[in-house]
Amino acid sequence: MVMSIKARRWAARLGTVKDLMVAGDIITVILMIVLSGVLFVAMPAFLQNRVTGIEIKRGTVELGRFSLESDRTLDVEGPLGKTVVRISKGQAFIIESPCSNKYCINMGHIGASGGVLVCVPNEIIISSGQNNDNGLDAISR
Amino acid sequence: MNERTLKIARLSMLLALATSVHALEALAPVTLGWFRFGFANIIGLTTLILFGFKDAFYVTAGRIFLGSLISGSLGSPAFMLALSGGVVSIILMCLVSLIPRQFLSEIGISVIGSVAHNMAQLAAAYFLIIRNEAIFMLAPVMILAATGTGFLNGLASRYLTASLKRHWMIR
Repeated sequence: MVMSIKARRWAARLGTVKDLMVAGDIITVILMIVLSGVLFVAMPAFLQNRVTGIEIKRGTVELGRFSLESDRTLDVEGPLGKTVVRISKGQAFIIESPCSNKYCINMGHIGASGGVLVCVPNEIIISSGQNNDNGLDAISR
Repeated sequence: MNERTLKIARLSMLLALATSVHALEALAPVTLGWFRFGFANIIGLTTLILFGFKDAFYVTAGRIFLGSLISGSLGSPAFMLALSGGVVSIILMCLVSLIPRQFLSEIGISVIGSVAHNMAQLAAAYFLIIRNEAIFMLAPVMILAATGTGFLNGLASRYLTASLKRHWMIR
């Protein structure tokens, strides 16, 4: 490769990698690049292995955690009767409820990113995502 | 002028320089969201090499407080991130600077400090602000970016240290 005189002068001033960095520096830089590569491969797998799913509660009693992976219909017993929760395509929603207002059905669906469905009369709380979410996003906090 | 006064004057100059760099960097248009060069760390590292850990800690903590005061982010999440990153990075840089300079030069120290700075910020962002494990997906990208900026800062710090040693006739 032909270098211009200017480029060659700059190269001479900067020297080679060995003039620039001692052994420890090169090891450090390589280590960091390797660490970054390993994390790049490992991090998504590590994060995905965590339990993601919905948590169903009656009042303060936890009834269980359910994965969003498989489609199914769950019958949840509350004080008024049966609330039917449907899990489909990674989304959970209430399709049937014994309450009078049916607000819970109108709350729509929640996915793995978080959210909550509540049926107040039947005391059913379906939540997803991290529990330490207090409803504020990063900006407003 | 006696030694003590001289040292205080020099440290004040370094602190003033670090503060201006920190404040100017906060003014610079940000292209990639979280990405910053961390040029202020050049001064922190130079202080560490010339004066040792205690003074480097004062300069770093001081420039974060003063710089945030100037740029108006004192007490905001951005300030918390800068503080946690700065403190962790200066402590780690002090530890690795105990390795003789012929095995690990300014560049290596700076790369380690820079990566530590970013990781501490990520951890602080997780605990203070976002609370979502997904932000750790940024870790590999941040390590790579920190390696690059750390290298540049280390190189700059080497020239600054050499120049200051010459001008101030230290050692």
